[in-house]
Amino acid sequence: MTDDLHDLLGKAFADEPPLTIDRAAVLADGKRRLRRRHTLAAGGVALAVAVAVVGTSALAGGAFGLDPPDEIQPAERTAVQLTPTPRSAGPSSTVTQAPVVVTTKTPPTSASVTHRPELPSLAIPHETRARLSDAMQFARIPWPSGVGLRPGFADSANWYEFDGQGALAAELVTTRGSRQLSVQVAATADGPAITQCGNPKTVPDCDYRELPDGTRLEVATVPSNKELAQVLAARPDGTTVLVMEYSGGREDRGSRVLPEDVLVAIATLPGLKR
Amino acid sequence: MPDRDAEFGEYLDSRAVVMRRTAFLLSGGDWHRAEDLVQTTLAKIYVAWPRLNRENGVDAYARKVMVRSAIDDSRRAFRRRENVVEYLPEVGVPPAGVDDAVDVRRALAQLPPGQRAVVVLRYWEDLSVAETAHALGKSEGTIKSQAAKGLATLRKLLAGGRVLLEGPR
Repeated sequence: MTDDLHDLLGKAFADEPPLTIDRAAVLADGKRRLRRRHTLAAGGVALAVAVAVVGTSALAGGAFGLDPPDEIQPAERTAVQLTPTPRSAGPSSTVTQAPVVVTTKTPPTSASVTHRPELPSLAIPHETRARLSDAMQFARIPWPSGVGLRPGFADSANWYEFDGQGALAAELVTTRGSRQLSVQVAATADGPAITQCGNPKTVPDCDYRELPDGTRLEVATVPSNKELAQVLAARPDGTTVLVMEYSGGREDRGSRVLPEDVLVAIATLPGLKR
Repeated sequence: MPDRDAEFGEYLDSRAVVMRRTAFLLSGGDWHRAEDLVQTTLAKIYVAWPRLNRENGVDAYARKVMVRSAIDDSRRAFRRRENVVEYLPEVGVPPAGVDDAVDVRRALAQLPPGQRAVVVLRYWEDLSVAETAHALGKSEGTIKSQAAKGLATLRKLLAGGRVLLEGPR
């Protein structure tokens, strides 16, 4: 009888027209959804606030060294325990936050500021992807103690691997549950990014800063959204980096794991250059 | 890292026709809506592609997304159901089999979206009761009930015509 019903339903296709599904349009739609998911993974109301890059000097020399931290090992679908990097243990391991010269609660109003709906995450060459992954793997990030990292993308073997669109997703594992880390690297020329800044109702704490090298930072925290934290860096090397920590995952711990200086350290890593 | 676009593109090419047929039945016999449904479904699959591909769960996920999208779509009142055209289409002689096709489409279109989804998944996709329940997020009892009601409605609608449905086994 099931076969009869199957045949009956099959009669509905008598005048089936040729397939006109546009493969390129499907891929474009999929990429758009993927970007949106990465950018707004934590949900919440986002307003388009863009920061363009001014200045040409390099980042403060040695601000974030590229020596591989001994404690960080590649993960094979398992969490990696990270030990905080000592900040004053000597020249080779010193992590020095570049001094902030400008801090304001209002967005910059220079002509370089533009508004775009979302962070562009255009396809990048394999070499760029590998370079970004290396930069992340060997960066000396002052990870807090008790935090492990494992891949956030199902097809990533290691937490520090970027995908083909310049995005990285990692799970921050602690004994009290997990949080999510997202890093997106885009060329500033392709357009700036969404952050949660700009909406005083949802983002009571949003700072705009400028570093000595010309990097402009937006630092936003959204306590009402399970302590979502974002740092967007528009850098003089022509790269925009958006770093987010947010809730999610099967065992969400709800409270924030990474302090602001860690997010800023990632966002200003010299190696994350498009 | 595998090339997401290439793998996904292969999947799209191999499954689009089959997916469109299922979408066609789910949408109550509208090829345009079926293609919209397939495109939306494929875009959603693309987002989850690495996980789905590794776990061999692409088809199951595709069914779930498509069915739920179809039901949501059906609930939007009169959405894009009527299209304004500049010229009336010519009326030609329908090819063989079209009468039956029209009967089946009309009957399917009269089923409530939920019942239609159950009928399509059970009797077109040949899913079990448990698989259909999982895809629709409903209990197996609900699936059995809706399948029986759906078939009864189809039988009633088609009984006077060329096609006669037997009762469910």
